[in-house]
Amino acid sequence: MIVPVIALNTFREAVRDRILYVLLVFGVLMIMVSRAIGWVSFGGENKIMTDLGLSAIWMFSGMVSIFIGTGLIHKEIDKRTIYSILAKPAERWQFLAGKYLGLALTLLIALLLLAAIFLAYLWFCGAPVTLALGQALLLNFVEMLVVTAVAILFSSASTPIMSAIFTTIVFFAGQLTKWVVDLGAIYKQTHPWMEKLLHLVYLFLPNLHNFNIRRETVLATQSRLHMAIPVDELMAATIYGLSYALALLLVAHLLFKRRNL
Amino acid sequence: MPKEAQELAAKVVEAAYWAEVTNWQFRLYYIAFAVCSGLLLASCFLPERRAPSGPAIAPSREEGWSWGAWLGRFRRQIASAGLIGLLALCCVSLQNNLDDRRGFIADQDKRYEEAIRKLAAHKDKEEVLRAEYLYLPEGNSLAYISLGNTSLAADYLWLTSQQYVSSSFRRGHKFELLLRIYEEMLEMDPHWTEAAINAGKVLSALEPDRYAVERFYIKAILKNPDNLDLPYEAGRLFVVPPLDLALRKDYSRRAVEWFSEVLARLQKLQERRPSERNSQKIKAIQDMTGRLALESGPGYYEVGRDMLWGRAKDKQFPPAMRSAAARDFLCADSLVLATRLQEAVARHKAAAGSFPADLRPLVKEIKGGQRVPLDSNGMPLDAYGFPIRYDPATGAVASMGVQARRAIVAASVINSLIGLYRDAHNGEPPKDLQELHDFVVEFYSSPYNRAGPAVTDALGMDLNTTISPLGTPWDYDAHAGKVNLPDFCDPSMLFRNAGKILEGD
Repeated sequence: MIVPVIALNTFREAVRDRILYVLLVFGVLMIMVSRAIGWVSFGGENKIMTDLGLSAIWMFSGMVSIFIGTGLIHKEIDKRTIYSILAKPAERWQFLAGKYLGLALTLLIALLLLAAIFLAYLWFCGAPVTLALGQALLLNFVEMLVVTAVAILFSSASTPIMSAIFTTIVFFAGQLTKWVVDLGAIYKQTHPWMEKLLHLVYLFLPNLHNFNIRRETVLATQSRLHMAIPVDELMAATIYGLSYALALLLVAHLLFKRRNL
Repeated sequence: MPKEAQELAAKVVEAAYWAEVTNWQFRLYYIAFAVCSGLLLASCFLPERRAPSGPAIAPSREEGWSWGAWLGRFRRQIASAGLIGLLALCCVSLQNNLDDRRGFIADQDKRYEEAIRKLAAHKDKEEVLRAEYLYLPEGNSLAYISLGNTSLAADYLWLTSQQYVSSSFRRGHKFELLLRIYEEMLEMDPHWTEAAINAGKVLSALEPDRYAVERFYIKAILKNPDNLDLPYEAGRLFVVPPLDLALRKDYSRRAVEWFSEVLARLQKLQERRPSERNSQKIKAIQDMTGRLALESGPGYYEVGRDMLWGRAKDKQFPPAMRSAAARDFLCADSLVLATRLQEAVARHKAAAGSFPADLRPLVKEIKGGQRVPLDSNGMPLDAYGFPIRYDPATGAVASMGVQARRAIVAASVINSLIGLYRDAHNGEPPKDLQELHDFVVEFYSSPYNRAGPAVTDALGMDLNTTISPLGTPWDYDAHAGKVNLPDFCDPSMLFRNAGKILEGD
């Protein structure tokens, strides 16, 4: 029962963080501004509005994961509150799991809030609203679970600044892992082994692009369809995300276990 | 240059330099520079008052108070302030230098256009275009820059293109650059058909060569094979006839082909999921395609005839449009018959070595499943009820009804041109139609006042006002100033069979 307690406390701690509100306010502003950008356009107003809204939610939920996730463990060590927790019958893995779940809960609430505002705004502006948007938001949440796991991984072994830098790099690079394959194609003739190696690297890197169905969602929404991608594809992406997050948390546990506190 | 002039020029440059140096901005700059240098220099000479291992300490009265000793407490701060000030001034100086070389950021667009203009003056078009393209990221890199948010990148390109279109509509190589922007937009979001359709409309307004715009539509269609609006828009590109008469037939054919494709798919859709909207759309496209097919040449007359027949017999179609469809059907049917007879004449010539004396032996040959009306002499009649014209010397076959229809249109155009002539000659009509021809040729000689499609279609590119489509000279009444048509060209007589179609006979 220690994990839910730590998770709840982490959630309480995260919602007290001012940075969360700053990011949320910017996210909401971005969603609101999307209509103005749509007005500027000749045709495709609703499409641009939906595009910008979804991208804003993605970007700001990513920032919440990075900025809050990377400071969580270090804060406990810095304030020495971790000793009082670990002194109780709580394992290190329980501490990590609690922290992760707490942040996941925070993210879920933040995402739901942004999504509610976004969907209400779309509806208010007369733009089509379909279940396809829910698919995009679900995968956005799964993506953030992976990013949070990355943040926890770095945070359990490094300082907050370094963790934030590394997590940001993974967050951006994870969108572009196909680049690694493209890079490998260059070596196809000269160094075939390099191509294979890069393909292997590609397979192991977190492919966050799997969770990006924003283009398909916007297309489906504009066509008033309720499915942006088939359910099995959605399930595959979700399971991939959860598995990857779990693997990262296990690595984080190994690192954290060896850490001298 | 003479030596005195060189000296004078050097003095002018020097005077300009000092005028600039004494400018208040420069004065301020030098004052700030002096103050900062002074601070840095002073910090070097100030004694450091610091305890062996601790913070700076104040000199006591006993040690002998002095300004230098007191300032020594702030030696490091003074040195830092001087250094920061000098670095800031250095940055200001460098920024000014860069601005002088490159100009302000806000002026970059202007400079870019100026550079392109300069380049265009001594380089070929391709090179200038390449330089322009450098301004736009490649599709692939945009996908990376946008972190995989390609839909957002497409929005950006769409908004950029609008900005570019609105800045000055027909300037430079706008078509080429816009085409590139739109193609990349399509690459980023291949299924954003609304933007692709609007892009095609913008491109068609910029570029007289509609085939180039058609190629853009084809790219969009390949990415959206199920979309019906794109082929429809591609067909619409060719609906308005071009000024060049030689292209007109091909334009009509293209439109017919695109519309036929849309129609086939719409009809299938209608079978699966009937809807009133689609039904109306099918009728409108059939009506338009039928008319365009009449302009498209022999291979398309039958398509036009069938479509126009369907429209003329459709009781739910608006009466005025039904009537127009029935009249056009007469033309299409007559053209089909004339074409088939012409083919039969050619076959006869190939087999017998000469043209047949009349069309009677050929009627059976072309009959097939089609009923060919004959007059009392066994000669074939066109849909208007006129005997088909045939010249045994040349083997030319023509529908008299079609020619009469063209003659009505041409007479109307010539009478309008006589009106123009009168306006230019104090109300006097031309003495003869040759005089009218000379006037018309001169009237439309200006590149800003070319003859429109209606005129060239009726009179031909040579603006012939003397010979009627019936192949005979016009009956011109010089006193009344108008051309008269033969009795059989009276519209009520010519289109009498259209009424029968509408009545259901």
